[in-house]
Amino acid sequence: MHGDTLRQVVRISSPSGLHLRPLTAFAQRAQQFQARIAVTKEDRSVDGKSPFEMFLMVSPPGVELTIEATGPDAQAALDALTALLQEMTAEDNGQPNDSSK
Amino acid sequence: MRIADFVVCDAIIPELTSTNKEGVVREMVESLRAAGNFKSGDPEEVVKAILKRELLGSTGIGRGVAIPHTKHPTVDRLVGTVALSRSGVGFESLDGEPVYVFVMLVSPQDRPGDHLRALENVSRTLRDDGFVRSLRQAANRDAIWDLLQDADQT
Repeated sequence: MHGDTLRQVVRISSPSGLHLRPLTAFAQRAQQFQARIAVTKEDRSVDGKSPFEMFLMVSPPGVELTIEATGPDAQAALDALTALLQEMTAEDNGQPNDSSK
Repeated sequence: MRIADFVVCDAIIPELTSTNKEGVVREMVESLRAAGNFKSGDPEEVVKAILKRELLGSTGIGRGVAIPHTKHPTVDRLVGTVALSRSGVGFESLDGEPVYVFVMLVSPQDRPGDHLRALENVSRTLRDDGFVRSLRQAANRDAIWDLLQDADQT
């Protein structure tokens, strides 16, 4: 079970797209899990625990990212990271004029 | 979108004199202002907006790179600049390392698409370790500009 890879596809729905702040927050959250985290957009896959690599996942609205977690806490990691992206997307939707993105 | 579409050549800083986060942001904003990229208004407001964004989480993404940015009504179009620090600046980076390469973006509040495309362009450009190494060794503004233009063509 510990070697299984779990996957979740997340569609970016925020009109602001997926910008730097959610991406770095994702990497920092991912670092709290033992599981290996990979994030794939189109044909590019990066280490979900690296803020620098996650920067490559900057995406306009409508793009789908696949999050993969492998390790003992894979399910918890996947749940937390999916929720984090959804929360930050909701924040964007609630703050269309925020000048601090 | 090409990097030369938003980086203002005249605002490039080949050697920052500032040695802390606030100073670097102020020096870069002043360089954009001096190059004629802001409408009327106090550039200090742009500095404050960028520093406020930094409080939400450092834009120092690691590997010696930071992308300080904001949306602000003092610009009609997305503008940016690049600055280098020879000695490195503590920027509360996510990997704890000093920052040597800064890319600043200031975008209008109503163009989130342009902002994202610029970020995508910057991320594509900076993922190349060789490019970042060359950038850090660039001796002057022209050398930096040439590198940015070459990066657009690859």
